[in-house]
Amino acid sequence: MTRANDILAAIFDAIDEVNQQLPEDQRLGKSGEALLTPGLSKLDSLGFINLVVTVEQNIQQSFDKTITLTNDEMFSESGGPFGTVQTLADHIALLLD
Amino acid sequence: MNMSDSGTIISISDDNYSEAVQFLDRFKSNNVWRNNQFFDWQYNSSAVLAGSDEDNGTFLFIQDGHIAAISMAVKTRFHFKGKLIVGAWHTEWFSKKTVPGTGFRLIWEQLRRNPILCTSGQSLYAANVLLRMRKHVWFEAERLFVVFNAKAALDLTFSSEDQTKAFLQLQGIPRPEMGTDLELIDQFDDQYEDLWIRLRDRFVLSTDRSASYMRWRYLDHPIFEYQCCRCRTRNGQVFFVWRVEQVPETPHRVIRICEAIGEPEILVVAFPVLYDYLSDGGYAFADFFCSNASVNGALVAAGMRPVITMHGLDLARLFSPLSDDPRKRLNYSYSLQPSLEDPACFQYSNTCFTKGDTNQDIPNPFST
Repeated sequence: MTRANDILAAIFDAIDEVNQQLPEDQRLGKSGEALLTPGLSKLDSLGFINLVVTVEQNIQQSFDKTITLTNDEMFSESGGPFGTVQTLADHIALLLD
Repeated sequence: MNMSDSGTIISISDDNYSEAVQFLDRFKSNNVWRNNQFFDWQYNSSAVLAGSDEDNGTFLFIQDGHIAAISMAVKTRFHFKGKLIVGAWHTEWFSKKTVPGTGFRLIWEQLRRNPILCTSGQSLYAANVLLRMRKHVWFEAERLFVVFNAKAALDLTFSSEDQTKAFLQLQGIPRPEMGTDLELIDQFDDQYEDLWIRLRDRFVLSTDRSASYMRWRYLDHPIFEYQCCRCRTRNGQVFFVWRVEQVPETPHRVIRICEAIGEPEILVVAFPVLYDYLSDGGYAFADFFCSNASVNGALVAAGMRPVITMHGLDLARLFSPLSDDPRKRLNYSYSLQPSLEDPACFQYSNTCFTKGDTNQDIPNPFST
C-alpha cells in the first residue's frame, strides 16, 4: 500500500470508531468526498473533536509520528484541512513529510 | 467547496443583538439576556474593563445569512503568576441541531483568542469537547455554609431527620474579638487596591479583583444589589461581598457570600464580625463557593462548614426556584495556552475563583 492509502485507512478507521458512538442518521460516510467541515457534516461538536483526536492517534500508531491537527490553520479562510476526508488526508501527508 | 456555505464568525453587536436574543430564545426562553442593560453590562462593559480591544467575547456563527450558533464569554483580566493577562470566562454555547458542529467552530475561536479560558458549571458534554481541544484543569470548588437559623435552614434541606436538625443546630462561630468592626462600603478604595495587589501573588491564577473590577462586578450590577463591607481587625482588614436571596414560595431568605478577600489569618478573625452583623437579619444561612484552599481553610477555622453531600444533609444549592440540584459543589475549569503551562498551574487549590466569577451568580427569569 502507498502512504496515501495508509493515511486514508487511518482516517477511515477513525470514522468507523466515531460512527460506533453515533446514531445511524449521523454517521459519516467513508469516502474521500465525505464532508468534515463543522456545520456541513453530520458530526456534532463532540463527534468532530472525537474524530480529530482519533485520527491523530491512528496516525501515530501507523506512522510512529505525532501530529497535531488542532492549530490556528484548522479553519483558515482558504478552507483549512477539514473540508473533506481527502483534504484532511492531503494535509496529513504534508505534516508527515 | 463554496466557502460561503461553511459559514463565518462575527462578534455580537447592536446590529445583531435582537436576532441573537431570538436565537437564544429557542434554547432558554425568557432568559435574562433579554434584558439589554444586563447583556450590555455582562458582555460589553466587561470587555472594556478588561481592556479587550479585539472582541467583546460573544461570537455568532452565521451560515446562509442566519445565526447557526452562539458562544458567549465574559472578557476578563486574569492575574497569572505575577502577570495580568486578558482571557475570558466562557458562559454559554448553543447551536442549531440542523447544523451540528458549528458550536465547535466558536469554541475553537474562543480558545484561539484567549490564552486563558475558564468555565464554571459546565456540562459533561461541554467538558468532553473542551478537554479534547486544549489541556484543561476541571475541578469542583468547595461550598462552605454557616447557619443563622436552624429551623429555617431545615426547611431548605430535603430531609427532616433528627440528625439533620442536630447538625444544623451546631454553632461554631465565636463572638467578635474586641477591637474589630464592620463598615458597609459603596466604593473599593485605594486601601482595597493595595490589599488586593499584595494578596494576588498568593494565587497561581485568579480573576484580577482590582478595585475597578469590584466596582463593575458588584456596585454597577444592573439587577442585583450586593452588599460590600470592610471588616477591620487589630492586625488588618478584609472585604466581604454578599447578596440577600429570597427563597420563592417560602418566608426564608439566605445570604450568598460572593467574595471574602483578605489575608487568611485576618479572615479568621474578621468572619465572626460579619456573622454577628448578619445574625440580626432573620436569614436562614449563608454559603460561599471558593476554589482557594487558604481562603476556605481560614473560613472553616472561623466556623463555616464544608457542605457534606451525604443523604440527610442535602442543603439546597439553588433557591430561585428551590431546587434539589445534585451538584452540591460547583465545577470550574481553566485552560492555559501551552506556552503558559507549568506544573504549578495544575494545582487548582492554588487558584482563587469564587461564585462571584463568570455568570454563576446570575439573575434568573423570575427576578428580571
